[in-house]
Amino acid sequence: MAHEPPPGMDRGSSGLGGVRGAKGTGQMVGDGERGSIAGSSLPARSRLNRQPASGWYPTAPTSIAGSAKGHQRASANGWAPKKRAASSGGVPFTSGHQPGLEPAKLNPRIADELEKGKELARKEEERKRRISACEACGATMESYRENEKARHERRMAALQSSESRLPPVDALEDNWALSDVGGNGCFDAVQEHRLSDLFKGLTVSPKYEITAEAAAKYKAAMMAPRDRLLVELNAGMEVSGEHIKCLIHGQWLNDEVINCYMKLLQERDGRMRERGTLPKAHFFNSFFLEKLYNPHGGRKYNYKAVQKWTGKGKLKRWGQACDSVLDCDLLVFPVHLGAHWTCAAANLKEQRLIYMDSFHGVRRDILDVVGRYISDEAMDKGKRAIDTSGWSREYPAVPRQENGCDCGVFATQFASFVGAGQEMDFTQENMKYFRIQVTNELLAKRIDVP
Amino acid sequence: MSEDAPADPVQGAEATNETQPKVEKGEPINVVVKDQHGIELHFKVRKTTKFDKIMKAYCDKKSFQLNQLRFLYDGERLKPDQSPEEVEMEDGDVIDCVMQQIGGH
Repeated sequence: MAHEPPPGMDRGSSGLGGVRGAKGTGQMVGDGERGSIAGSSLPARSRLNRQPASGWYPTAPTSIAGSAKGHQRASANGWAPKKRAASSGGVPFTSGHQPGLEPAKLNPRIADELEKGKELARKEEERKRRISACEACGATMESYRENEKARHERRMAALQSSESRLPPVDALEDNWALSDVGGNGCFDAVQEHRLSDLFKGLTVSPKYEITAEAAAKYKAAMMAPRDRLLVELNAGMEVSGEHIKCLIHGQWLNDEVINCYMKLLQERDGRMRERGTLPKAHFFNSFFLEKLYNPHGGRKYNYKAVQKWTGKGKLKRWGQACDSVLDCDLLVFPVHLGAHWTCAAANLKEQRLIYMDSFHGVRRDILDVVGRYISDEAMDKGKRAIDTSGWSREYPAVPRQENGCDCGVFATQFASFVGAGQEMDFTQENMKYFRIQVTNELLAKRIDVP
Repeated sequence: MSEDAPADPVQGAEATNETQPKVEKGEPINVVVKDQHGIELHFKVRKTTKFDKIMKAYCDKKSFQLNQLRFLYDGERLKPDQSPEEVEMEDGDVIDCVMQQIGGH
């Protein structure tokens, strides 16, 4: 909204005042509008009468402050648009208008005072809050800093003692991983703390004993920079420093680690097959069931999505010697359930479908999907019919997970033990060992029979 | 949902790089990237274009970070430095795009 009167108004005023102040108008044009208002009251009034029409009335009193008469009129006319009809007829100032005028006049001063008061109150409040925060924790800034320092020292001491408990490993000295610790900021304090936790109060069964060498290698891998490629397998599978950190105690496992582990299990299977001691197994990757069924999302069976996944060339590249997965004795599927890893298996020889959940969950739908996949695959690839509806569905009492982070490790071990046809004799307590073991197996690109 | 735009500058870059070989070598094919919900995004690329470009264009389009997604072609992981030619991809083939999987409990 313009604060200057619109041009049309000026024209009107000079037209009205033109009769009386012909000589004045000549001046007025040069002076501009303000001069014209102050110079004659008549144009001013006529102007005021028009003002509300243009929505300009709030600034009217100040713009014609030069004439007291004009001022009064302006306030009488201009302030309240609703009463304009009455005031334009020359109705004098009434007390009824006064309250409307008051706040407007005092407004700047009051606003100023209010502003000052508010600022004072705000400052006072801030000061109080600062004091009460200290009162709440009972500490000043200095004591807080001291506390932090002491805690840091304690943490460092714990780490040192856990290190000194391990025998020195010469290979560690020229290890690349230790040389650029911190270079990438890859190793934060939380992880360090967890790592130091790993080595104290360790109770292991004699079979699952953590050797110093394994622990050192593991630690070095955990400290590797995030962008360093640690494990590279064929078929585009790789584990970088970023992904292997999920094997730190307390972290959740990711698909890269699980899938590389499956690949290595497949290679182990290939090696052992010549000896004929192990069941012929095929290990799928973790995306297989996700595409086939999406057990934690859509739950829609879609054989077409994975139809081409088990072609002959694909199986070769994966490490599977058989031409079809159905020539194997055992199929192993890692299952991802949103935030949980489990493992499903199908024993084709004995016609059993097995679901292994470290929380002993029961998912019949997943086993049904696996059965249905076997039927469809047989029909598609081998042109033969396999009816899996009568196969037994089993939920064996596998070792039970007792925390909220180790399910991925459990799942890898279920796959490993089932693939090797062995009894599972580990417990939650051995998970620290298995985290180290899995890491070392990945780094060595070789898994041996448990 | 068809989207050809991201691939266009890619083609230009590729064409200038290989000067003497015949143009047919990098003949354009349609590649479909399909996510878990079955939503498809079409890319028109030369056979010699690295998947890197497709992946980045897809991530930009879908506002994902590259390390959150896994690209699979018939169940095999695609590496950024591979090209459709290397994995024997044909016109209209589908790349599956899945989210990374993390699980703990």
